[in-house]
Amino acid sequence: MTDWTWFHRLASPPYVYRTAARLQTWFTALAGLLVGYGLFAGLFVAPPDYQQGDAFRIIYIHAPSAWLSMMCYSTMAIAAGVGLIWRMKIAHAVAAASAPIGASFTFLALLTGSLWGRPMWGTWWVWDARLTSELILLFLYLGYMALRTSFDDRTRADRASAVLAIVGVINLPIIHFSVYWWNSLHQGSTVMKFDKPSMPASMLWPLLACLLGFSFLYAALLCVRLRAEILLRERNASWLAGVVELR
Amino acid sequence: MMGRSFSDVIAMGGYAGFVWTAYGAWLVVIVLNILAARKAHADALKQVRRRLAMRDPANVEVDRS
Repeated sequence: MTDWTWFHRLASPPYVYRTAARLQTWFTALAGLLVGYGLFAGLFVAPPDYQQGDAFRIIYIHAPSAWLSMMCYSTMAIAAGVGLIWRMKIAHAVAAASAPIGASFTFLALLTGSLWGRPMWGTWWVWDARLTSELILLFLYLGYMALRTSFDDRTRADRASAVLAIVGVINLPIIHFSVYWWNSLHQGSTVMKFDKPSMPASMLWPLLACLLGFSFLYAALLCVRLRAEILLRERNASWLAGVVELR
Repeated sequence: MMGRSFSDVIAMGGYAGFVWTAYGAWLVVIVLNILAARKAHADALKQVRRRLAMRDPANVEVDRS
């Protein structure tokens, strides 16, 4: 017989609260190490690009931010779906906690991309498929957060915003494949493709470290925000007395 | 072994303005992210503490009139 106890534990706010507190420390440490190594090696060790010179170094913050902008959205939409289907309050809390982090990474992807586009393409912004769909992603995050604050009742906010999050998933494949489906100024994938990455190892390893490190940073931030969400949702529960005193 | 000299890193082959602005903005947003998450948790904790204190029998005023 399948053991479903893990699923029930995941639905238990005290268990999730304590686990998130414990994981947060590890995620923070891993994020610090990986991003520290990645940015150092990317800025100080990797050779300049043969076409783009040193401007290519923006990739070490641009690509991970763009990757996170989509990963936060996937997490948010999956959690929202789980919350809708199984009426799991914790899942809705994960979705709500994910949104502001995702929005900030989307903003970073657009901003660093613009600062990279100016010297390479000669323009800060073009209305091409990749850039426009990423901008729509930012609006989806902002819409999701605005929709949540427009309800006084948390349960209704959870359900309505979950529907928006799920519908918005359609944008994710559009962002990813936009550089192949349409003519774009944006370059194609360097790492995420069914082929060898088109980069030498001294450039690639720092990038992979940054991708992983940013992901751990997201996980750590999610733990903190999730704990805040749980506290607000459970503010009348008796288990909180133990948590608040222990800290 | 370091691949590049310190002045090379600062100059960024003439792209210093773009590269360092991008990294500076990145740092600001990451720091704000961390501060905002911590503040959200601290605020929630404060709210829970206030509620628990209200429920504590020691703080309930008894109407003796």
